[in-house]
Amino acid sequence: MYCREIQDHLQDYIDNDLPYSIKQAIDEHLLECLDCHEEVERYRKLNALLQLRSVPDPGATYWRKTWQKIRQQLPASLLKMPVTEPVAPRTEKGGFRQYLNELFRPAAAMVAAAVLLLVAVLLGSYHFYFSHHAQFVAERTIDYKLYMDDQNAQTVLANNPVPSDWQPDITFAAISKAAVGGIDPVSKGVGLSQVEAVGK
Amino acid sequence: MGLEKAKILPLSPSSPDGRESEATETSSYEHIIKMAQEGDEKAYKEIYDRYCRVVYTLAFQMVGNHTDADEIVQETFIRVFRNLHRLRNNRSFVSWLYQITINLSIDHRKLRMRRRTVPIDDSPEMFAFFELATSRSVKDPGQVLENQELLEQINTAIEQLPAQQRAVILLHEVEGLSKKMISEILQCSLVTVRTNLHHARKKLRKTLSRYLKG
Repeated sequence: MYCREIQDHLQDYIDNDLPYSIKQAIDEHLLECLDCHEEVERYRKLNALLQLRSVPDPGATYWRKTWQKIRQQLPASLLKMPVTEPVAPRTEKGGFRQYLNELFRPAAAMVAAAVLLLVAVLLGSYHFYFSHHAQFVAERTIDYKLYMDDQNAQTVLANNPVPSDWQPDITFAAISKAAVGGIDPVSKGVGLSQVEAVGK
Repeated sequence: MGLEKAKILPLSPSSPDGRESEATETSSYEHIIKMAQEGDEKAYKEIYDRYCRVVYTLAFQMVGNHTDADEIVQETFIRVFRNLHRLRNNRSFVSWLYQITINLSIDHRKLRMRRRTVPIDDSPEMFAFFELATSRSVKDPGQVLENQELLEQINTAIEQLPAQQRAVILLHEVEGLSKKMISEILQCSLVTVRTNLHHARKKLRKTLSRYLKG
């Protein structure tokens, strides 16, 4: 092979893209021709130089943040799962103010308001009960008397004296009647006592 | 810039580089593409994890700075995910990915030149972001400077190449892709690839002649 022919095939020879026969012919030529041999060496050195150039890895944090940015820019329709808003990173400048913002988010504020309302209602009820206690007792007594004025009850009670240990129940019945007007355990108690009297 | 100087990115992709020879790897890779086409978010992430370094390295090699390379990485993956459903042959995914990266890199470069803007990290120190693979073990300050100069010369020589030639030489010599695959990526004939490679080598040889003697 002549040097001119070698020049035509040199690139393919370096890239190892030649048929075996041509490659072998060039190999033989290179052993004899110093110029062509140097030419091949220069190309090989150039390849080596290009491969010396490498790109530093930007690091795991970079890859993670870049994925988040890409994901945020993808339309939700592309994904099976909806794209969620990322939690904004707390900046150095934001400091305490940002901390407060995070602390009092709307949901947390609503829960806090509900708890405060409940506490207020409980305190109000407690105060109301003690301030009106005397009046409450008086009303309870009147109700009891009214109850006792009832003709049927009087008759039943006259025939069947109420046992002393029933007194709390009678009191409770009067209170209940005053409060809700329906519960009447005394009648039940009286009824039971009548049953017991018949039995005797 | 906030770059974490850590390990050097491999010159060749750490993941399938378009020459998927092993059947199992190919099938799992095709499965992931299929899952992504169905909108599986995990598959998107898997694709990103596999190819982010490849895309970044190629973009960085093409544009020569982190700012542009970062934008290209984001834009490439968004474009890939948005158009993944149009990909008929899953085996050509890697060529397609390279193609988008190269095209975006060329567009970015054109835009920069048209606007005559300079990215934040595109200063004389930008070459510091490239590292000579051999310089890490060099302790001699004189040698380090010499290496730095060599690196600048290589980068300048590559920068001066036309976009198509730069793409061909980087894909062939740095990424190690075959001429056939480069022709698929750049959507040109094999002859064009060979011609571009030939011209690029000749120009680089001329610019870097002083480092190629002896």
